[in-house]
Amino acid sequence: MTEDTRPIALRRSDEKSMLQSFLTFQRATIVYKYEGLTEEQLRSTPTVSALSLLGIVKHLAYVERYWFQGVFEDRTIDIPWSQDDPNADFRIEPTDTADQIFALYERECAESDAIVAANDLNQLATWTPSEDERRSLRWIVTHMIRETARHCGHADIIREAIDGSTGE
Amino acid sequence: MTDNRNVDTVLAGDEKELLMLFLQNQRDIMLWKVSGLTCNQLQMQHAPSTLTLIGLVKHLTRVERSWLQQDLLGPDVLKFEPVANQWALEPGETCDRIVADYRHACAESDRIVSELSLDTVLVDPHPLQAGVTLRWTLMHMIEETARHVGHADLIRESIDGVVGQNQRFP
Repeated sequence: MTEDTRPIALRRSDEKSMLQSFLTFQRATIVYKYEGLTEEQLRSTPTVSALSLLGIVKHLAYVERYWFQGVFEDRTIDIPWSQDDPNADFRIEPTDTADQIFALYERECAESDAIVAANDLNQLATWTPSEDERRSLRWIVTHMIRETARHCGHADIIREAIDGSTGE
Repeated sequence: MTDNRNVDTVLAGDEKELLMLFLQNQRDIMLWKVSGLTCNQLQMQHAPSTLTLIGLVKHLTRVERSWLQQDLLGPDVLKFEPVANQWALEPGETCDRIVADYRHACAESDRIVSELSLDTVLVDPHPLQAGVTLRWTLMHMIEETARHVGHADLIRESIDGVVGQNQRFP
């Protein structure tokens, strides 16, 4: 794999900067896992799972949009999944390209970052399914760290199956 | 902490409680991913990866004891016995004991962490992480445990087809 230029998480800082730096590192790790692969390899599903590397990035892009723009800000958002098709965001359509999906992920992450920068971590989400399920921005950012890290774990196994590359 | 306080019920908790609950949630998912399998199944690999479910649990046990115990308090206060192979069963070890030991290590980590402020600087971390605080370490433990849960997701699926985010949403 190529040279590792991921920004490492801040060692000592206030809560918000540190949480942001951990999320930034996990996102960079996902992208790093994709370095040097062809479009065909990115779309491939070489493990027991139906997951592809590109499908994971597409999913994460929409999950960023859902939590920060949809739940926290209650904006009207366009998301591919539905009750009838709950995993649509993992599916790579024939018209999708890797460049488009990476650009989408970058845009959604930038939008999430702008929302985090503009709000206090104690701020509660605008949208909620019921009053006692209102999540704080702190909860949402921490959730995105665990979710992205877990998908990095999937990417580890898939990448190793594609070309034998391993590593943190 | 009582059982009804978890990441699905504490949605706006304070920083430390939420970090501890997110870590506990990842540990719980790992324990769920290794449940209901024989010791032989727990040692199966999803080639080409050489990881196994029991190896992940054993590794995470060591990670708990280093980051949240020995590194945090210093080896003069608490020193753990390193195992010869943190990724596989050794002669005389059983899967049940490895899993029970993980639960034990997590409870011990929680007992230590609950007494300390998030600004506590670790006494003896790896030199590359000199100066890190408990805040950093809990965030790291969440990302590390979550990443290994991701490994466990695919390995478990390869063993018996079981998939799912967590026990509530299998």
